[in-house]
Amino acid sequence: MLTKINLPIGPFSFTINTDHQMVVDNLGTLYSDYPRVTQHDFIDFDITITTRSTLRRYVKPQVDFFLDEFAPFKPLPKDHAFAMLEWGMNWCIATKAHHFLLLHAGTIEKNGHVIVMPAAPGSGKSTLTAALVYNGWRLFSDELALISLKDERIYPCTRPINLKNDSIDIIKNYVEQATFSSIAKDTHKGTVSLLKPPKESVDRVAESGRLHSFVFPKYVANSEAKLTPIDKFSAFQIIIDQSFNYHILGVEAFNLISKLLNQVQCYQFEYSNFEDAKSVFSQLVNS
Amino acid sequence: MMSLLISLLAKPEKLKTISDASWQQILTEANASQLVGRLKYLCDIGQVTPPKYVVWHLDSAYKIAQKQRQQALREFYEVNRSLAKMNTDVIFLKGAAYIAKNLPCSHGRTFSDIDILVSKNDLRKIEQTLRFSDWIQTDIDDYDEQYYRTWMHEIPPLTHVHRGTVLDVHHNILPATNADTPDATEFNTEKTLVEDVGFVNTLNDTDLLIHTAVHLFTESEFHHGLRDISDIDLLLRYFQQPNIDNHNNFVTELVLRSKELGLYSYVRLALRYAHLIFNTPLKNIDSSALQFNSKLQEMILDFCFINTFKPNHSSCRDWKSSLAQFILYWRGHLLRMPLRLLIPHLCKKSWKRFKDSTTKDKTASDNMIP
Repeated sequence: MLTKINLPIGPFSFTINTDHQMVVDNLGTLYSDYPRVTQHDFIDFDITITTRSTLRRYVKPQVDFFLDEFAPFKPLPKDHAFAMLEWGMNWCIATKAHHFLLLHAGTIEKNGHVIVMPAAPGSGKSTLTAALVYNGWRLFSDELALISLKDERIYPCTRPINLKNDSIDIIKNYVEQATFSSIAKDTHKGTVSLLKPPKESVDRVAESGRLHSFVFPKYVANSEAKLTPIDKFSAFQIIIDQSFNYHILGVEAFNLISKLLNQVQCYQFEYSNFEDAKSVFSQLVNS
Repeated sequence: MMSLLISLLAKPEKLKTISDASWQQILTEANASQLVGRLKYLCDIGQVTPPKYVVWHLDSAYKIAQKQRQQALREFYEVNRSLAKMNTDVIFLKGAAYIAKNLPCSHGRTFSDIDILVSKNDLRKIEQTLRFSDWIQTDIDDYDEQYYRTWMHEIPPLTHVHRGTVLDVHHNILPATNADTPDATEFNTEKTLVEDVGFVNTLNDTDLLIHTAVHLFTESEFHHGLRDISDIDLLLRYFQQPNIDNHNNFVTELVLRSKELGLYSYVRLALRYAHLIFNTPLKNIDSSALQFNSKLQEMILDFCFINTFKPNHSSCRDWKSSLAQFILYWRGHLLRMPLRLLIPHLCKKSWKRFKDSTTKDKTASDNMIP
């Protein structure tokens, strides 16, 4: 029996159909603050998480991800089902939502100022995002910055934060009463667990914001927090490298990025300590 | 079950009257058929504005197709330039040709590779020259390589090292083993001036449609069959418009020309199913021209193609589609080659598939995004 769960998340509405209790339980825990879509609403992404072959239900159990009836990925071990769903949801947005410039970036907001933090995997972007959004910042996303091609505003797509390996315990120790999903071990990214987003961020998911600055974060062990302005050309290159759809949008994306870079500042940010990071970010939007 | 999408493709005016609630089903069908971009094109020319929550889906699909269009224009230039010194003709086929000729069916249409037709005598040299321009052969095993070289009408696909485009180089339009294979040099070509690119060779209008028909109706699998028959519908409607490329009587020309090439049986299928599925207007053609000699054959083919040219989605499929696809699978293979070649080939393929399934780890997930 498939359980059907409707989820409106910012500009998108998802339906998740699944027969895996683990997925239902995790959705129940991590998405408990989200409203439910009514039957009559339009669904952008109709996702099914189930097992394709009868054999694979019992022998080395696996799960498949379907968008409509199309399976873009190879099956994964059953224990990775919820992580797979979250990756799959990212994939849906990254390959379809070309009304936005889509960046691989942590995105947070305070007092109407949005900071977009594009970074390669492993640079500590999700960990930093997690620490800040439980300390006064609003979560837009830990993975995807949605920059509208129409009004140049940033739109939230507030979802659980994807934490890997050591980051899981670091955030467990740093954030009081953090709620996590079950843990998926030995994925292609190592051990993965998802952190429930703050309720206030979920409640305000419809509120877009203006870009304040681009910050390119990097975790460097034992370093002092250091915010260094960088030139627009280097920033442009990093933004292109971390974009999911620059190659599809072409001129449209080029013009949007140029315009934004002429309006805002860009910084490189090295850190190792959350308290330092907090004060640097507060100063940045207050100055 | 009747497909909403098919009724819209047959009568795009209906886009003006559909309810907001129907869009969910339409988009599902269009996604499954790779026709979202075409839907956007039809909305644009019909000046229809779908609800806001649908528009971005249509726009996104269209942007992807536009990006591919840009890529095709670039390849016209690059491939022509690479082979310019060879003094041989490069003829662009299918999706690339629709773009070069700026045909209505090219708007919002995606494709997976660029197809070209070249002279078989120059093939070795062309391959070599393309290799010097960074087109490299896709990794395939020895059996497939030999199969391509011996029986097929094309060489194994080439991929460009830097641009990632896939190029299919054909030296004929059908495999050598198909009984109807014509001489590739009999096709009529024409030059089209493409902005920023220069002259691009394609087949002329009748031969382009004949090639499209032959290509579709010799397939054995129809993953985007509905899109392909819709291409034919749009081509037929366009070439029959008054004042288009001096075709006073396109369908008559088409029928005569296909008979000349010995390919009428494929064109008849194209005309018949475009007409039956989309109600394509066909001027000055006798209805007997669309009938088969055998009533039984007609019944079977109608059953097969009408049940196969549907959105590839469970809401539009039933037992008839599965049976139809099963029959067409064998029909396609038998058209391609006689049984004495087909049976060993399919056995070999099944064995290889079995072997791969037991040796390769299928849980790898390298195609995941971060």
